[in-house]
Amino acid sequence: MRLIDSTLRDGEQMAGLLFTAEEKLRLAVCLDQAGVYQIEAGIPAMGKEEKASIVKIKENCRQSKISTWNRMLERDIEHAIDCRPDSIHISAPVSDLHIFQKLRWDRRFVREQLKRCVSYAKERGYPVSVGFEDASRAEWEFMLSLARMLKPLEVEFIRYADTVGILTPSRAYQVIEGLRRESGMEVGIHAHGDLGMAVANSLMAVRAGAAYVDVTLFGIGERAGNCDMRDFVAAVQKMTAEKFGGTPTVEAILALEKHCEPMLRRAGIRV
Amino acid sequence: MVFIESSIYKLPEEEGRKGEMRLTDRLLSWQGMERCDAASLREIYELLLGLGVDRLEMSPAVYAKLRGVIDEKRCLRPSFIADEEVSQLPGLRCVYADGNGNGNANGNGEQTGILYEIRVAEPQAIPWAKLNEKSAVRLTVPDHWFPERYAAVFAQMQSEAGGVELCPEDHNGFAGALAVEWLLAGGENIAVSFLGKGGFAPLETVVMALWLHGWREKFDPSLFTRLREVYQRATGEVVPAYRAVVGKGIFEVESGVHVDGILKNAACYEPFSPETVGASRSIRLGKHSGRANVRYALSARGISPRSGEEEALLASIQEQSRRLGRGLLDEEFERLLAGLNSEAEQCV
Repeated sequence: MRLIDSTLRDGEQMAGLLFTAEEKLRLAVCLDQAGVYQIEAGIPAMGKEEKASIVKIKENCRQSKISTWNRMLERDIEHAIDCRPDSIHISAPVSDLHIFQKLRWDRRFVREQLKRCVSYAKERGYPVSVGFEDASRAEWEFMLSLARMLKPLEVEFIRYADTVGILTPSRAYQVIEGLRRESGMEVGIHAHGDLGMAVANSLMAVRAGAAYVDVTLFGIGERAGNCDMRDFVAAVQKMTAEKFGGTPTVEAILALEKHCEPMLRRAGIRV
Repeated sequence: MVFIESSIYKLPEEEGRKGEMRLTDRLLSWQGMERCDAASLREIYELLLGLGVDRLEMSPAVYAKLRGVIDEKRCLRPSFIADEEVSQLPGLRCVYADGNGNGNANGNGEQTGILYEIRVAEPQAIPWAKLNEKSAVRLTVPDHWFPERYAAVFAQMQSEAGGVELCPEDHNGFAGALAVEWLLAGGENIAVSFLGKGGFAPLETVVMALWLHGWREKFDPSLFTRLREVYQRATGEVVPAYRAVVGKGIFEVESGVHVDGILKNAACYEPFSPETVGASRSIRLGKHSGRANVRYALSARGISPRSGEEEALLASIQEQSRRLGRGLLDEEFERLLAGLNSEAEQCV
């Protein structure tokens, strides 16, 4: 099980919050030194400032892999490639709600577009992971068909995103175990705290074999936030005898939080 | 492991779980409520019942302030514990009485209106044989049973003592998860507490999990925001803005991708609407905003942008947000707008 820190991407999307380029770099270097496996450094398509920030992060981090979050668009992948990350993450909305009402596409187009984008990045030599956005409201067979399509494309892993935070622990176990077993791929979990269960669901996902867990410092993120890194690591240490790589200690996370706290205060966010 | 019998392929609200259940809230028994004034306590009491809580546990001090204006049958208060009961029932922590019987014997010699609270630290300490001897039992359990041990224990409780009221204690943040798992597995009785006060599962997340799983008729979650406001006023405590369900900031959205989705169909990025919990949505402007945010902000002010104006405004918003190191306040956007209009007029 490896931690993917999304403080600089999903965390920063919390309304009102902003990290300057210098702050992002400082946080990334601290995350790197703390031993976080992967840092999701930002969204290159946001513009040249964001891209420059990601490049700096890549240049200054020694251990952590640097990834970027991208929509399922070739132009977004091009922006990502400009940043020379260690891996490219492509987010694919998989629920009909997102496909038909947000994207105004259809399932077939999603399937073709995802294949195009993954191939585009892979052909240019980049490892790719794919996020199934709104997976917890998606039709299972469709999601599974996408996973099976991605396996021969040598996608590193699939991220099961509980985009609106509606999973319960037993359901989290079921879907992660099912997706792993039926697709034959490694799976990660991206949980939100709308029902206060982001940490519980992530823990259950790990029990079901999730290889990657997305976290943020203080659990910051959209609405009620994401899986809190410190709470998750503390729970893992307390409740399981297993040892994991790419996971900082609780003490190291406390030190990280001290770096992050002033930036939250500036945005009026109490933690 | 034992899992709930439900399809993993359907939307939760389609599952239609609407079984009978009894929900007890313990907020009014938390010592922090004892200093609150009677009017606020009464309002909290009424809001909790309005939300769908069946029974309210209250301390003697709170009861003294509410006596005469509340429905005694829905109140649960600590009662006398006899020494022999303590010796016969390992883990007995408290005995409660409600207004149905106040511990009096009925015609069959059984006590009515009594709830025995038994606290066990480990599953092997559950006095299974004793659970069915008593008319009503609350089993208070620690949340370190999550994630490894709870499923097997819940299954055994279902088969051997299905009527037990479960009360998970919140030591590690998993009491809410245990409460929801218990109810989805068929448990009928649960004890929780608004905001988890007193160290229990939070009422608000348990109710919304059930609401999403089909228990729509039992609950009126639209009272949650009012309950938070009254609670804050009564206690002086500020509930964190990003607290699940009741935080006042959870329906603020700035990210362009999310705003675009929300404006097309709010369900894209909200598990339930703000109105469902009595709140409202706020679309903010900042570094992460996109054109959808700008369009919304202009439209809300009755402004139709001219060609290219959206992009220019968005660039200005993002630039100012970077300079400030945070998102823009409404008045900052108004000033930005006024500045751009003034520039445009000078050009004309």
